Amino acid sequence: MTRTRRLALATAVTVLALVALFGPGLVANQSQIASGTCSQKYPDETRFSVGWRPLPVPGWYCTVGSTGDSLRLGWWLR
Amino acid sequence: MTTERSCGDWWPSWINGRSNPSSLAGQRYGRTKFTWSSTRLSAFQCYTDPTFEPDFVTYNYDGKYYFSKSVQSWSTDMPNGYLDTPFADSADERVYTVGTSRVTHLDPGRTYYSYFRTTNGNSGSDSAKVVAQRGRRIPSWCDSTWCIFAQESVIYFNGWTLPVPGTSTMYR
Amino acid sequence: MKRVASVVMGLLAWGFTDGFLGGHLAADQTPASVVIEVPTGDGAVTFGVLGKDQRDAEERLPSEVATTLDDLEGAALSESPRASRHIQRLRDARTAFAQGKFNRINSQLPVPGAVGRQVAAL
Repeated sequence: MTRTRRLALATAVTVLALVALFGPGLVANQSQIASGTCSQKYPDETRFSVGWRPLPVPGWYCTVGSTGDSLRLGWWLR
Repeated sequence: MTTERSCGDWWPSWINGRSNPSSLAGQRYGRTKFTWSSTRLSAFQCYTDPTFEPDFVTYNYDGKYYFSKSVQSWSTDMPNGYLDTPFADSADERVYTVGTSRVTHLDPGRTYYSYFRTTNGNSGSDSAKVVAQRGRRIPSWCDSTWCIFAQESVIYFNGWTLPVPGTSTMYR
Repeated sequence: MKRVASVVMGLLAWGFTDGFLGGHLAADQTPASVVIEVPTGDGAVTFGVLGKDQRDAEERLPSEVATTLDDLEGAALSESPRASRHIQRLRDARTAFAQGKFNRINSQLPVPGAVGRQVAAL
């Protein structure tokens, strides 16, 4: 394998690893949408938090303040 | 994406919401006012690179809206203020946001405001809630809304109890 | 190391959003805005005006600031207890703006989804 190919492979692996780890978790607007989605899913809750988690299933999660329950909202939110 | 330390209750001690016809015919404004106690603001500033947005959210499930979608003008006396224009906000819940990217520059006991103005919507009345949102700048040197990640939200006027037009204050 | 990681993440986020979403966002964004910061006795007030283009936003700036201050002062005067510091801040801003004392924070959008100090900060 040539040096160029090794470099290309290493870059591809790094990018794939980053996407797997962070995915849309790197997109600020997605966190805003997650917040809005969470609010709509739990209209009676007055406190909640959102965040990206790679495990157990990668995606945006909504955690409700009063119960501590977490709900996976999805990988890419619209 | 990030593990966060918990610093305690960070939200404003009270929020006042107000909306009215503007002094400029054909337009309407929304305004929030809010204050942090020393304890609350210390807690807020303990979080990593904190940001704050008082989201003025209107009820549009019925297709009636007091404000039109696009903001004409905005203002705030919070330092490092910005207008957030969410591109994918829900048609059912429209969000108007003027926030600050630097909570560390806020002072306790001081009343701040956020203001936005739009052209008239298709209805003379509506209802709203205010979502106090704590965010985080990632990376910390970036003040762009592209770098502000929503972390936690506390809802004022839950159940759409803020009359539009009108005014109300809620303590939390 | 942590700092390097955060910088890389920020750049990735930027690249991702600009590259993948830029086209989608463009259609939904207001094309231009002017943002200014007006000093007051105890801080500053920020004003933003959005327009169909830069010239429109620039031309409307004085009237938009005046309307905003009228609205805010009208609201403040109708409220009890009277927020005297808030009212004073608005009056300071009106005076300073009339005297041309303000800083331009940004006058060259579009920056998708973001309007404000960030442009200057970068």
